[in-house]
Amino acid sequence: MGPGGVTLNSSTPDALWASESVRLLKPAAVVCEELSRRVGRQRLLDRLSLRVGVGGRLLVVSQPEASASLLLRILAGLAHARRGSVRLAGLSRADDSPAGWARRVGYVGPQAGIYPWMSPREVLDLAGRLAEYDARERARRIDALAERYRFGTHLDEPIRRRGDALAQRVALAAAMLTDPEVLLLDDPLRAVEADERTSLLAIPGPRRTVLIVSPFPASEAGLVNQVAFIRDGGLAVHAPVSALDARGLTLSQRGIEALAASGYGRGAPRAAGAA
Amino acid sequence: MSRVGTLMRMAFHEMWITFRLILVLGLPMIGGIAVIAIPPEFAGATALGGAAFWYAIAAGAAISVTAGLAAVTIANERRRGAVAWMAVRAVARSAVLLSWFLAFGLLVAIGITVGAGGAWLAAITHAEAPPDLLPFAAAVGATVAWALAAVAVGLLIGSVLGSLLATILSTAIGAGVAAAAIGLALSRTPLPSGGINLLAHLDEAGRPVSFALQSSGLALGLAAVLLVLAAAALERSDL
Repeated sequence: MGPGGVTLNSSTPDALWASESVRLLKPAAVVCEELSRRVGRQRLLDRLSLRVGVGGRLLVVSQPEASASLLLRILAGLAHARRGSVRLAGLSRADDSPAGWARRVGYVGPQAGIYPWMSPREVLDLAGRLAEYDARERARRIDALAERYRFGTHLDEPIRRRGDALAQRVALAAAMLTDPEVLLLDDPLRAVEADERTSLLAIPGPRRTVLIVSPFPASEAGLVNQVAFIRDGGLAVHAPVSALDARGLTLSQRGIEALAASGYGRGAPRAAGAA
Repeated sequence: MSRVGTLMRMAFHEMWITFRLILVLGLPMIGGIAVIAIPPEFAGATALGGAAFWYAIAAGAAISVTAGLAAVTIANERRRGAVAWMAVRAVARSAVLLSWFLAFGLLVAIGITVGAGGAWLAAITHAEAPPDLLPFAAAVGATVAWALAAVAVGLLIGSVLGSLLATILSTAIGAGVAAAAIGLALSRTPLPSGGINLLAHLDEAGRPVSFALQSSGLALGLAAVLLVLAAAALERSDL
């Protein structure tokens, strides 16, 4: 709990956030500079630079599709860039302390990556152990997540009994266990029904920065306030969703491509620093 | 280290659920028990030499299977995102690798040691005079060391190749080394697989304890080098 009994949504020291200047400056939560990477003969990222302000909700789409997913995996430390640098929540990937990267950055990929014989409680407990929370703190966080993600009676059942939908919900809950400042979502919760998916992906926390990669941008309507389009490895456009609305374009791959083609300014979006 | 402990518990649980634990632990034990049923005079000049020869075959086969299982395990962990799940929680990839090495290594060491008890029982049952335990124990110890190196072989190959290819290659390497160690005469110089070589030719060994100790050292050194290479390969790979 922060001063005045306010629940903190960030592990960044509260004194920093209390500063007027920091709130006005809206510091970048995600910074990548000059990222380049080829896969086979395809140049998926070509000197890509991107900054997302604290609290931003960014939808990343790309042509070819693999570029956006690769960007997220590089940000999460799962793939390597040939060149360039990355900082998330003010941290470089080299900070592998439990109180650093492990708690402040979350990632959910298309694969749940968890053992199907485990129950949601066991997965969350493991995530808590790896983040080095004590038993009491783990129990508190697991109870809160069980309620938010409505595990109900499935909390202690093996995940395999309920299929991919539960596995993906558990993966998201495990990523949220540490209340991360930056959450990276690579085409998440596809096995979950659309309404429930939208409700689960409405990630709470005004200071939390969320990047979503999705091959179906329309399905992320209402969840994001910025869009970025990567074309041939470079950043073609980074704009607030309102820029689409202003031009009568829809939140779709075609709409975002049209926004990029319209010559909307490259670099940081005009009104997309924070949520 | 507390994270490696947590990961090791996970590894044991995963092995138990998927029956790999039974195979790694059970194969050398069954091999050791089976030696009791085989008359040792079919293989060696002494009861101990004969029992050790048959146990070398059983242990060699068990170690080959264990190497294959280690390879398929780490390849599957990479493919289905389990290593990635750990890595995004700031768990070093080398810690994931080490936990699997320790899990496989501990189980195969227990299996080989218990199985060797069966072979020893076979030897003392058939021997006219009580055989000398020390050379046999030293050879078993060196075999355990080779088993650790074989697990590291599997983990290295599984860190680089896909599941099927990694399994076949690791098992083939384990089987090939075992076949050479059993089929060829006792080596003049110690080798990492010297434990199996010594077990298969225990009657002919002049200084078995010294040979076993040197072989163990080489096997453990090889295991360490292979683990470092596997960690580097896993660190460089995309998850």
